[in-house]
Amino acid sequence: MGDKGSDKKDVWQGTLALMVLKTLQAMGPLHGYGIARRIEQTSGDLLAVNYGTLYPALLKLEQEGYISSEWGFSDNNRKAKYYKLTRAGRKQLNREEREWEQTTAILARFLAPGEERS
Amino acid sequence: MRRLRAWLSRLGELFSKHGREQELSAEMESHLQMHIEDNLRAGMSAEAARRQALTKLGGVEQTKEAYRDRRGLPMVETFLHDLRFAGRVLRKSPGFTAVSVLSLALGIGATIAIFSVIYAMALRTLPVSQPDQLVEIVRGDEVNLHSYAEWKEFRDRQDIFASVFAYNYFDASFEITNQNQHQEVYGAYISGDYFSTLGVSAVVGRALQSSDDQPGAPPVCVIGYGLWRRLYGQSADILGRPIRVNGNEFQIVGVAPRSFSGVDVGSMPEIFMPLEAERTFRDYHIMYGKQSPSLDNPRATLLCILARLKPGVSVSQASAGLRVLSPEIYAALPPRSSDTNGRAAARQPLVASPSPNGLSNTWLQDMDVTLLLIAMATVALLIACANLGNLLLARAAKRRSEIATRLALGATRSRLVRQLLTESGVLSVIGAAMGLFIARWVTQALLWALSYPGDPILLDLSWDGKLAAFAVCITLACALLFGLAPAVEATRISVYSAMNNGVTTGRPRNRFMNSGLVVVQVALSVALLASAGLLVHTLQALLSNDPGYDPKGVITAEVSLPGAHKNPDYEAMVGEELLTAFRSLPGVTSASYGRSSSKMSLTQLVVPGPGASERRIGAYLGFSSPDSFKTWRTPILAGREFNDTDTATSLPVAVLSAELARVLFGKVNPVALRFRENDGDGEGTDYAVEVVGVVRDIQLRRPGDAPLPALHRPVSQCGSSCSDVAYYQIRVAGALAEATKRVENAAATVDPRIVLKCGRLSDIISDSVHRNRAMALIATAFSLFVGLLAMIGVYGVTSYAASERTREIGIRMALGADRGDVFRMLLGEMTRVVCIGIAFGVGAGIAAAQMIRGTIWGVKATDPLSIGFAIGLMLLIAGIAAFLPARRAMRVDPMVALRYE
Repeated sequence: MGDKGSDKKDVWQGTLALMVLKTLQAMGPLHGYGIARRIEQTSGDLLAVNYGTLYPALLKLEQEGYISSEWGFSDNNRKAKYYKLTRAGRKQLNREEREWEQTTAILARFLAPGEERS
Repeated sequence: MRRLRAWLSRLGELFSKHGREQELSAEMESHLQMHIEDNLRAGMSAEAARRQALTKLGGVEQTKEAYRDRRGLPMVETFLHDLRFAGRVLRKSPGFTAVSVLSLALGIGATIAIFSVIYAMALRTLPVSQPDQLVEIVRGDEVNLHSYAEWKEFRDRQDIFASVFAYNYFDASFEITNQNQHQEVYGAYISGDYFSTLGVSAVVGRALQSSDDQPGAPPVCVIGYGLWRRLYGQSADILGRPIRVNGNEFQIVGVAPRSFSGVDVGSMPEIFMPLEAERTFRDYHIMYGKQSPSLDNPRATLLCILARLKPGVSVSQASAGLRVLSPEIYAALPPRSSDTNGRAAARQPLVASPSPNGLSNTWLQDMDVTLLLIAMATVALLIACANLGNLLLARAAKRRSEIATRLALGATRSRLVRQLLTESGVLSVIGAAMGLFIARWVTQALLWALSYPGDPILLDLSWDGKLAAFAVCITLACALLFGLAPAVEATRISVYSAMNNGVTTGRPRNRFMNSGLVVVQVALSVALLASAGLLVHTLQALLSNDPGYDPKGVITAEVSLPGAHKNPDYEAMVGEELLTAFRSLPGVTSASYGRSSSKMSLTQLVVPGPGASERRIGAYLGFSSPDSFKTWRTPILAGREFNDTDTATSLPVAVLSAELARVLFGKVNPVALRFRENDGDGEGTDYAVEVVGVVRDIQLRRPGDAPLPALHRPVSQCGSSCSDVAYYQIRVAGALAEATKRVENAAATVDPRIVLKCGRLSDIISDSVHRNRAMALIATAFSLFVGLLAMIGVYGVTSYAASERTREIGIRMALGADRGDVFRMLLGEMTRVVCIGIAFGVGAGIAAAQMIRGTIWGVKATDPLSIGFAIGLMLLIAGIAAFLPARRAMRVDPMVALRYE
């Protein structure tokens, strides 16, 4: 992967990481394919590119300690690698969600000045 | 914090790559399978299911690569990979690697050695507190020595500096007696505030203080760390121990720190005595014919004065203050005697001159030698780098298709350049490591060459940060210098033409550069070889010069009897007893002794001149025993030498050297003469001597110097004018080492108090040509080194040319040329280049000979033997170097050449 559009990539990576964490929090431990499908469902076009981009992101989250991985068996008795949220990951998710609320609150104020007091 | 965790886990990944890769493959495989199953359940056909899943997953290789980049540290990994690859490449061509590493090691090693010597001599600051606050007190005309009276006036009157001190290292060699073992150590006389001004305290005990430097103070001294270790084994009870210096007992009150080597760079005082202690040695010095003490002699200027600035006072302010103070000081001193023109010389004002690096006289004296050495090292390094650059270029040409393939596969040029640079980096690092070893020897050799025999230069050559940084910089600079250009050149190829091995004509630009480099190397080698030949010739001529005596097989012994001057009769008796004892030793063919004049070594003789005037002639005056000239084997040209009939009461006689006879009397055989011996001040007593003989001139200084007039008189007639030290010469047949022991035992038998210093007569000549020997060695070594580089250059260029023109050779052979023609063609081209180089080299050599004219003796600057030898050697090594690749090219099968890949 080249160095083209690194800014966009960072933002994209950040959003993807957040979505992975949210997915794991909502669904519990899940394998890579399952996470990919779930994100596609909830975010529409965001993961329309390809599923492969998920795996480097999963590695980054694991290196940072937000998720942990373990080999296990799927429903069909297929060997798969399962990821789950760690305590640090849970804390990070809370932090990010609070930040997001604050940002949207500020944005709302900007977008609709007249309705501030309501 | 998270980033750190991520980085650390990435670092850990460097060691467990393989497992992870497999895991990812397994994970992606299972992802694929699950997706296909879902697709099948959704109703797609098996093929469509698989295709859709694959498309959705995206490029597997890209994912793997992104994963890999995320997982490890790509930069470090590529670097390690480059290192391994470079190692493989270098191992595959061991000849090239060995040769490159060797020439790099020599170049880098020499550079590091020279720089560390220069650094230690001139750039390193003194290990004292705040060295930048130290200044030296000099006179406006750069004379840096002061008399004791001047020092006292300065010390008592000055108010400009925080503190001042003076020291004397001339004649500061002391004879230490330790349980009947004598040895000579170098030290310094220092004033009371020496240590306190420098801010250096003793590592054991205390340093000397001003109370120790008073007349009549108890005799104490401070010894150096090295002396403490050598003589006393670093024993803890060193304080208060007595030490016998010059026959007098002193008490050791302290030991100087290990890193402290005084204020002079290049010498290391091992013992520190107060200035006033010189008075104690009066008896000892008189024995050696020295006027002592220098403290009371107004004409003795032996002291260096240094001072520490007061805080806030600048050097120029201090100098201004000195300018005001100087007339006061001078007014208090006794008037100076008039110089030869009868004028009383004016005194220049004193000036403060900063000396944070200490005084390094050796550096200043040898500036031209040191500059020459720097130039040599730089030239050697540059040529070695250029050579290697050439060789790397030639090798890169062979790897053209490999590079082209990699470029086609998507490697960036910068990636390839980085890899090629890593190769040259590895070569540099190995070369530098070897160079460090070589640097130690080179440093020793340098110090040996720069010092005088018996006066070795002692330097603190320990490594510190700056030296290490310099070594690293040099290594990196080398790697870049010879690696960058070939790396860039090698990757600048058109992929198409390289893949097709198309029109690969040797780039004319490179060809010219290559040949030019060879010409330069050959010229340099020839010039250096010729110069080295001249220097070697000079050395030979000097050594084979007739010194006027036969130095082989003669033991010299310097004999002194402590306190003998108080009883001259006893001394004469012991002298004669020793002579008899030595003569009766087995193997001794003859023995004699002599004494020097106690006043000055140059005596003024006054003889009648034309008319009623007088002529004054300077001559060396020496006293010798009967049969001296027989022992020395100096031919007697006329008359006789001294014998037993010449006693203290008989007629005063003298023997002239040939030069003195010539100066005094022209060609006429000398007859009775009147001499006036005086000591240079115009006073003296006349006495008459009868000339009884003339002998060949004895070489008193360097071979090749003009002969000096010498006056010999019998030792029995010297009265009180000769020194108490007798110099014996004992000619033996057989091994000198055993004979020396026998001599020492004989002396002990006569009188156990006798102090004996033995040596060899041949050392006088050998020591006097030390410089020439050193220069000849250095020149030879360096010229051989450059010659070796030239050989590598010729080899490299010929190989390169041969491989570049392989197709052409194939075509020629196919068209009917035979192998000999090809061989001759390649060799002929190289011969032409080499001959051009030789022509330049001969011209440069003659020019160089003119420059070093001062050091050549006994040979012409255009000595045909040296030049011929240089040319011959160069042709030989160039021939060998070009022969091998030419022969390889000649042996190529034309079919292979035509299809050359």
